[in-house]
Amino acid sequence: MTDLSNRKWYDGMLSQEDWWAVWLGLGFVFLSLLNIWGIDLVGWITYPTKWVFHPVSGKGDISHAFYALGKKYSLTAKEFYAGLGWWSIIWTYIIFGIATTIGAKCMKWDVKRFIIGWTIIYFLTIATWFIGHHAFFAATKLDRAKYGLDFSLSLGGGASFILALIVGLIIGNFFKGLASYLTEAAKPEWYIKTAIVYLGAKLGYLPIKLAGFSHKLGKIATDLTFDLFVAGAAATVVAYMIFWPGIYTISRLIFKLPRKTAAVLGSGISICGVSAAVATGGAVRAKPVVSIMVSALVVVWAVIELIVLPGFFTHVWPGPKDPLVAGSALGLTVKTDGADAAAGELLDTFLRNKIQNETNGKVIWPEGIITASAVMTKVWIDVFIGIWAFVLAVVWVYFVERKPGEIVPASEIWFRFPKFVIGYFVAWFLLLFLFFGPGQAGAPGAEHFLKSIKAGIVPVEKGMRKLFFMLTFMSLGIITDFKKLKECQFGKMVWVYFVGLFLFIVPVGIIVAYLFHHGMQIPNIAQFVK
Amino acid sequence: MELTLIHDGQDWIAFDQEQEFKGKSLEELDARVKEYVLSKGLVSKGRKMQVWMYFNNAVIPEWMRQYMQHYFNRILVVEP
Repeated sequence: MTDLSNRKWYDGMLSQEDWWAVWLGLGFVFLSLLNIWGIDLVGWITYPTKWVFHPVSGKGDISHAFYALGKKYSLTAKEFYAGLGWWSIIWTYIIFGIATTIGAKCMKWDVKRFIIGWTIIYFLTIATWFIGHHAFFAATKLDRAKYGLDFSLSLGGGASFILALIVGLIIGNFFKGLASYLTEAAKPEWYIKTAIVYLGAKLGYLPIKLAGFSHKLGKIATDLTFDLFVAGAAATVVAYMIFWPGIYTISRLIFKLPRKTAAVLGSGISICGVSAAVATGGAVRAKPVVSIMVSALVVVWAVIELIVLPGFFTHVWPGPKDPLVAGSALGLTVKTDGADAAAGELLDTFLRNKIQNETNGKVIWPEGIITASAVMTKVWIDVFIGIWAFVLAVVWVYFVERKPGEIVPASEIWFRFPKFVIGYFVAWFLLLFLFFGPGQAGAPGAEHFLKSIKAGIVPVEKGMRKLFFMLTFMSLGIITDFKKLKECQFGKMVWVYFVGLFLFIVPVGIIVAYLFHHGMQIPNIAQFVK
Repeated sequence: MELTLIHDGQDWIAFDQEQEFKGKSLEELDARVKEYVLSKGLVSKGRKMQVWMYFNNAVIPEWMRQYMQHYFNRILVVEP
């Protein structure tokens, strides 16, 4: 058996997906910044645009359905990237294929299976991305006419996400042999953690983008992201204090589960799914099988939440009136990073389209802020898992079980720390530094510098982030087998999960999110965009 | 002393290249380790010895490792 124990602080830097999300994420962020010196090495990333079979005004021609983002944003290689067109799909496949295969090799996966799996997942993802951008699905009420349509579903990029999830679920539930083969490359957590590093770049880029519209908007964007940062932390701490004891009590008193199972289930349902179930299982010294059982439940329920909650928060409550309450509530209630960030991205698309439709284009929100609010609470939850598990281990070992002679090493906090968070914050703060430092917060004289940052970072925060979100939706579907809920015969645990999640976690999560995020407004950029 | 810790579905097992200790519970495992350390005289009177146990995450199914890459490490303090 390979030894995967964590002994030194740097163990796992080349062998864990968590670290590889940092390398993939920050690697391309740093590469993008070469644009400051006029070298554009990231403009090849492929990106879809809305299309129709019979364009009426030259807009939406199928031959332009995919393009390299450098065509639009590059300062030094615009012509080259403009020439790539659909070939940008192949460029993206090869470059990310090489990067992810290096990761797979270092993590000692079956490289041949990974490459075949990656190829299938990538091209299925591209296919759903393409179909989902047909104007019938994606066009809003306001731009139907441009594509010669009388009606459209106004789903924006959300249609592609839903399609990717559906295709993944079909494979995961009806083609189980193929799904099993693809698991070597269907890694939703790796893809979403990489996407979250790119989201960090997006947060840092937001003030740069809005300062391009007006100096005041740049400041508002900076303040808003820091408000989310603080409110997310506070909401997470409060939610922890309510969620965990609540689920533990329900498990013990109503469902009469054993103490250790209740503790692991309490963390799985109330904190952050699989990672919390594993961390808590270790903290209370439970046999690994307890965490494994809880985790099998978590991944299936998280996908059910992903399917139900974005639509509920968009069309029932709180809707566009309190978009950041909705976003942060997702972060507090959807129990895996992948499903949460994916749900946040769906919600972002749904709510932006809804407000744009309802106001006839008078209110347009920049994309990504609602996703950021969903991810921010989740990032804090992930960070606190290590601390929470350490506290729980101390309480369990020293007071509950009173094990003689056992010490809980403080290094446990570091080993349980989610490393991708480092990439997220480095990307965010690096761009903020460039904005407030050499970029002079958007003051006259720094325009060229900020334009060069934009040329590099947009392909990352827009193209690469969306691609990795799409890969996450597809992979989540592939690894989710709903039959497991029936087959696993967990009995009581399934019911604790159902009752705990929908009658306790979701309502309390919404209340906590409301208390800390109510009234926070997303800036309206309608007057600055076409 | 440094040991790798695993669970085989029935027992907790701690081992290095020379020794292997088994127990249905961690308490049982600890008792065996203590007994060995003391019987071999690896720790003298008035002193303490730390036995580090590093959990091998290969025990956790591969599909779960992408969510959390660490189960737990523990230290057992042995004194005569």
